[in-house]
Amino acid sequence: MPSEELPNILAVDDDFAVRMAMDFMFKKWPEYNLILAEDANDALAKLEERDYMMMFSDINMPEISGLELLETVKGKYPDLPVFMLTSETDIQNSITAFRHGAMDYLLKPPTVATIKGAIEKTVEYIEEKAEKEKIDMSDFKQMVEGFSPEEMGLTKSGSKNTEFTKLVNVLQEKLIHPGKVGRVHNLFLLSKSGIVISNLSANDVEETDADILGGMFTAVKNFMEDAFSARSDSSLNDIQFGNFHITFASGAYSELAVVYTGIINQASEDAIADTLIAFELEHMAVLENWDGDLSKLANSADYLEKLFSDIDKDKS
Amino acid sequence: MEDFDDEEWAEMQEMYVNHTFKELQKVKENINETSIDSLRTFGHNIKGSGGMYGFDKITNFGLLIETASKTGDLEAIISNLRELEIFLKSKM
Repeated sequence: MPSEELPNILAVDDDFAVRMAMDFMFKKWPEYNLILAEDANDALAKLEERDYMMMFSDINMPEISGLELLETVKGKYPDLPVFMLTSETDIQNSITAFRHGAMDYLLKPPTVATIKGAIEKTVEYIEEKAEKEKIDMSDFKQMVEGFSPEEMGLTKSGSKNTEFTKLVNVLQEKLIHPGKVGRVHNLFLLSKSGIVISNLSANDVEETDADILGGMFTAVKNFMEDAFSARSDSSLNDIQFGNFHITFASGAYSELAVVYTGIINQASEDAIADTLIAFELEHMAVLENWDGDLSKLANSADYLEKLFSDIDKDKS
Repeated sequence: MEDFDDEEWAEMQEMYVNHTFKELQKVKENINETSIDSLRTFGHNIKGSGGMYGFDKITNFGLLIETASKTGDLEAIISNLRELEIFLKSKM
């Protein structure tokens, strides 16, 4: 394997004899590419040039000490395993080294076995870390993707269930569909009897969408009449119509339907529910015995415009 | 060094002995001008490297020179430098 493809190990020591001894030791391990640095500045420059598997550093060096180098290195490369080498048996140095994130503290002169042990410890650490990340990202994602509050019977009632549903939505949104925020096409504010109080369409809704939206609107109304008439909670429900989704916030007197494609996030769902609550609170007296006179609910369009703007903002 | 090619290892030891001998001559020649810090550094360095080349005795000389430098004991420093020189010559 060409040396450029081998894992790089950096060894920093101001003493020429130590650097040569390290170089000689590494002849035993051709599977690693040893890079030598004669002081902290040299080490920092070499760290910029390529990726390293690990670093050995002397502590007692002129100008910038090994402990200062360690602090800088851990700031820039927090995952880089660093082994400090020193002939000092000063406990304070070892405490400082560990506090600054050193993986271990080796006494000089190190034996071949000591150096080999450090390499093996690093390899083990890297493998465990990779395995842990693999478990974290694949198994955890799979677990979150498989969450279904409906199937788990958690959507019936109760604030804990609502919180759990929210948590699941947030996890799925962040882990399974990160950055995939849908596009809102239409907002409909409807009375329980199906009268359109107000509606708002996105400016970029294409002409060809109009028929589909018309059909969807009928579906929304039918769905509401068939399925939601008996409901009294204000939670959201989602139905799919081709590529389009319709999410409802269902209030005491009205329904807010949001027609969208893709996926909308939790913040948007919260904004939808909040909008309906605010609208009903302001117009409660009118809505209780509403006679279908739209002029009595004249500012309803403002609610939809603000909601549209809030959802659009959440996308960024 | 264990498991290394004998010839290569002998070359490494020879290189180290020569290198340390040269460093020792520099320190000796300037013993009056050399600051105690430089003597301490010399002791510190050979303390850290001697054992890497299989010379635990050099590591021990390093420890004695470094310790004597810290207490400013010039007589002990000179004595240990002399002993070190004899040892190095025996390996050349």
